[in-house]
Amino acid sequence: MTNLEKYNAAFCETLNVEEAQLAGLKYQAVPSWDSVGHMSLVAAIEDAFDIMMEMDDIIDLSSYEKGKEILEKYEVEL
Amino acid sequence: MIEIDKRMVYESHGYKFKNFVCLTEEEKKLVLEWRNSPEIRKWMFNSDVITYQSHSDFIKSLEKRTDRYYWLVYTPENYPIGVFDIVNVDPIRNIAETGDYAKPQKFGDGFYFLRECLFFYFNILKIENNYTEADVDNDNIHSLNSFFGIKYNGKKTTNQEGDIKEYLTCDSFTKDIFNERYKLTFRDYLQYLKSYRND
Repeated sequence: MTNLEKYNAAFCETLNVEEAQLAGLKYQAVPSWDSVGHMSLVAAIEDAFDIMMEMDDIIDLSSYEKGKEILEKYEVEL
Repeated sequence: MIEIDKRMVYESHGYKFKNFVCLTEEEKKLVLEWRNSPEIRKWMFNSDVITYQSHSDFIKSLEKRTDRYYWLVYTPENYPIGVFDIVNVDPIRNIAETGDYAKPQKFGDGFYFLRECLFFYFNILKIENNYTEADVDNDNIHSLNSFFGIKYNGKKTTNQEGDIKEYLTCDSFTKDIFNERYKLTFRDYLQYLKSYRND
C-alpha cells in the first residue's frame, strides 16, 4: 500500500466515508468526525505510519488536507 | 447513594451539573436542539423528533420523580457540552442506568465529558454500581466505554413501532473498576485504541 493509500484508508475506515468524500473533508463536517471519532482517526494514522503525534498536531488535524501537511513533519511523504 | 438535590448545581473537577428542573428557557431550547439533532437522536431509544411542548412537559414531570434525573453539563470553561442522566434509580441495590449525549466543541471534549460524568455518578452521587446500554452500531462509544472499564455482558432488542434496535448492555460496571481508570488521559486512550482496533 502506498502512503497515500494508507492515509486515505485511515480516514475511510474510521470515519466510515468514501474516498470520493475525502477532498475538502473537515472536522465535524460528517457526524462520525466528532471529538471521539477524531481520536479514532488519530490512532489509525499513528498506527499506519508508526508515529506518535504531538498534542498540537492532534488538535490541528482539522481536515484531510491539513493532515497531509502535518504528516510531512513526521517525514511521511504522501 | 446520596439524596439527590434537584436544586443543587453539582460540581465535579470544574464541570457543573445543572438539573433539568432548574434550566432556563434558553437552556431547555438548547437541550431540545441537541436531542433532536439527527446525529444524536439516531442513537436514542426514541428517535422521533420531540416537540417543545412534549419536552417542556417532560421536564416538568421530573420535579416529582425520584427514579430519574437529568443534568445539563457545563465544562470548566463554562460552556454547555452535553446531557447526563440516570434512570431506573434503585437505592436499595445501589444501581442506576446511565445515559448521555454530547455536543463537543473541541477535540478532547467528548472524552473528558464522559469521564467526568462517570466520576460524578460514582463519587459524588455515590452510586456503587452502574447499568449501561449502547446501540450495537455506535462504534465510537463502544471503544470509549471499554476504555473506562465497561465490559458488555448482555444484549437487548427493542421494537418501537417497527423500528428495531439492538443494544449491548453491561450490568457489572462498578466504582472500583472506574476509579482505577479515571486518572488515564486521552493519550492513554489513543494507545488503547490502537490495540482495540486490531482486536
